[in-house]
Amino acid sequence: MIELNIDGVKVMAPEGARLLDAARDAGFRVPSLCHHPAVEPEGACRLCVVELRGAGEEHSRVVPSCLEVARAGMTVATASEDVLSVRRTVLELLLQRSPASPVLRALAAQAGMETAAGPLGDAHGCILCGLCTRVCAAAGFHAISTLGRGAEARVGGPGGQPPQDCVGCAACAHVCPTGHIALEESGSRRGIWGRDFELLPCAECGVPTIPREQAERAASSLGFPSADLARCPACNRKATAVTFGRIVALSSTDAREGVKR
Amino acid sequence: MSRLQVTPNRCSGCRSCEMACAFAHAVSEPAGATASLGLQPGRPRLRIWASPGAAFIPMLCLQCDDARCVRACAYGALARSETTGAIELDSRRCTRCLLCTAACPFGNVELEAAMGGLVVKCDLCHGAPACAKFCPTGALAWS
Repeated sequence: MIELNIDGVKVMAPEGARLLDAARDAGFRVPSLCHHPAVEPEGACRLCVVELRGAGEEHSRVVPSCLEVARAGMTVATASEDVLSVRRTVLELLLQRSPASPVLRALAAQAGMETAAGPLGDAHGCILCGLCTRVCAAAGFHAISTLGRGAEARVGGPGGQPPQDCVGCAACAHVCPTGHIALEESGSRRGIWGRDFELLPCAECGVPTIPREQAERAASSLGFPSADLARCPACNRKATAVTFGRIVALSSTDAREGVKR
Repeated sequence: MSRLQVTPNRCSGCRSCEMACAFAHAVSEPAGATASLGLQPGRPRLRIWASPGAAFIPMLCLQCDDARCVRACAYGALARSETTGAIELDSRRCTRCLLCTAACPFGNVELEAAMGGLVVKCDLCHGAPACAKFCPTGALAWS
């Protein structure tokens, strides 16, 4: 463990921890959009900036706390004038791109900023933070990536087509900080990235489970038996309970009859 | 290390354990709820199965040595606690891909829809299982 100072409070953090995690674990509120504990930080959204002065350093600097490793003797300010000013600029730029995003507007309101009123057009909420592509890559699918450049940049499948390597797990949609990735579910169908997936019906009771492609990938890459993946948790539990029940019945019969094996 | 010992022959099927589990894993009420308790019972992570032969089987996570749920998670959200031996879910790392719920061959990892879709599993209450505490017959015992 190392000791550092955050907003005038002594804080202990594990060796190698990032500043953002160290600050949050100690109860400090630092906003962020592109950070997710499941993947390596990327410093894309820039909202998690803090003012940092290292041990023995004369001047402080404003850095994204998700990328900075916490070191002993650091002095950190999470809400200094400089930090708030940088954060407001970042939000202004993000709002230029996505003025109607409810998440961005809420963050702006927290920062004491005025946001444009009136009709704002599409609720285009992608801030190109790349969290979806990082999560997809971490699962080994690499189905989506950033396409185009500058104002044309966007996230999608290769060549802007529905991604053929997508298994429909929808992890990207669940982690998207602005809720931009469209996920449509009805009954046993799931639509995402222009693909249409069938949610496998439970082999016993028929309730929709995970997409067929996701189950097939797990069966081939992890070696899980397809038969286990083809049942919902409730029916898997029932099947196990029936087996356990037989074992219990057998052992109590044995006890009554004094059977020796 | 203590273990949760399950003895189905002692189970009377009272389901106190399910109730204890639901309250031990209570969740915040969704915004706009009319009740004013602040918390409501969560989804119990164990179930009593009543088999046709009138025996009752407590069904809960077996905390497998080579657990499929752990192998299924690409995000490291499921890991064994060194202090309790339980496989715990770090919901901050979870991306809700739900592969773990399909991977568990015993059906002990589930989606809790009421909690905004969080995955839940038995965490042995971090070393003090409420189910064992409230089991009147000793079918569930922590020792």
